[in-house]
Amino acid sequence: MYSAVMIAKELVAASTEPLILSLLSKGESYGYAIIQDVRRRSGDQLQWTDGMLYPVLHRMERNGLIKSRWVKIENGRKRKYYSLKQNGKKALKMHSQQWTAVNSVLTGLLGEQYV
Amino acid sequence: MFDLDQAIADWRRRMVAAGIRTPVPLEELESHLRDDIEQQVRSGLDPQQAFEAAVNSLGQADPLTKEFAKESSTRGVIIVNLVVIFIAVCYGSFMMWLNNTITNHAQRLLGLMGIVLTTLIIGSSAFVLLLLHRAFPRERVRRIGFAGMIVAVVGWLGVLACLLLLRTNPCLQCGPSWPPSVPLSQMFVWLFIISNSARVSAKNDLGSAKARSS
Repeated sequence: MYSAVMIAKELVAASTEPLILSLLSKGESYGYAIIQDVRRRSGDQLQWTDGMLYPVLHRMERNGLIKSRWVKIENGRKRKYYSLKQNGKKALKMHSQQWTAVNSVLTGLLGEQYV
Repeated sequence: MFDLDQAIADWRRRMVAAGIRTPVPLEELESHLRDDIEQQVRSGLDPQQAFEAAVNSLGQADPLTKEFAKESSTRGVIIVNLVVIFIAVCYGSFMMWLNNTITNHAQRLLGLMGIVLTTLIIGSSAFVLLLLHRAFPRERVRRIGFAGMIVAVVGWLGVLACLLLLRTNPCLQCGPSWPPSVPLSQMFVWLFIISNSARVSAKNDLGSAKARSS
């Protein structure tokens, strides 16, 4: 019987920035939606402590990877939307190359074990 | 009867008591909390249960406060760097005032402009170096940054001590050509700015990675 395996904390930490960049490359979004999206796409295997996302977003904004704006939504509430900056697109490309390289090495090694 | 607005106001007070001082993170966290509560209520929970679940999944106040405090410490390092730059400009101006070869105000003004300009140019290049440091291991950058700061402070004080000794001892007065105190001390100022910025930046990145994985 298949059971969902929680992803190790170290891997969660390392993948936070590339995941945020990838999601924002599809269009602007806000913290809660980013968390829900990641949770849904990973089949609940990848779970962040919700509040910890925000310091990461702020750090990425300070480093010039993303930018933010407050938007008024219904019932008078406000939401902070984040979107990619040019540097963020470059960083995403770099992350993508690195993760692809790691994945291809690992897949190759795991494949050899069954030859 | 459960009052959601009152519960959120109490939650905000707890966060402020835990140390979140700046309003922006708190506004953003509250927005997240309300989104989560709305979602949970739609899934069938009553408002009180939804509020408790949302607060729980948002995380404890203390670790959150520590993470946001690191952001503030980064702003702190920028202020420290600006203060160091200001001291460097004042110091350079003071050295120029001591220099016997400068005789009129126009020369002094020109010299001061030169010092400000080089400070700004080299100060900006420190930020470029900061981007490059990310290619190296954070722990090593943090240690080298700390060592760089110590070297910079000791070196700067050394130049100052040499200069004061030479100025006060008439036998050692060598005129304006020595010591090259302005370029030397400015060099230590750049070293301090770069080391301090790299150290704090690397420390924050290390801290964030640890906090996310804890």
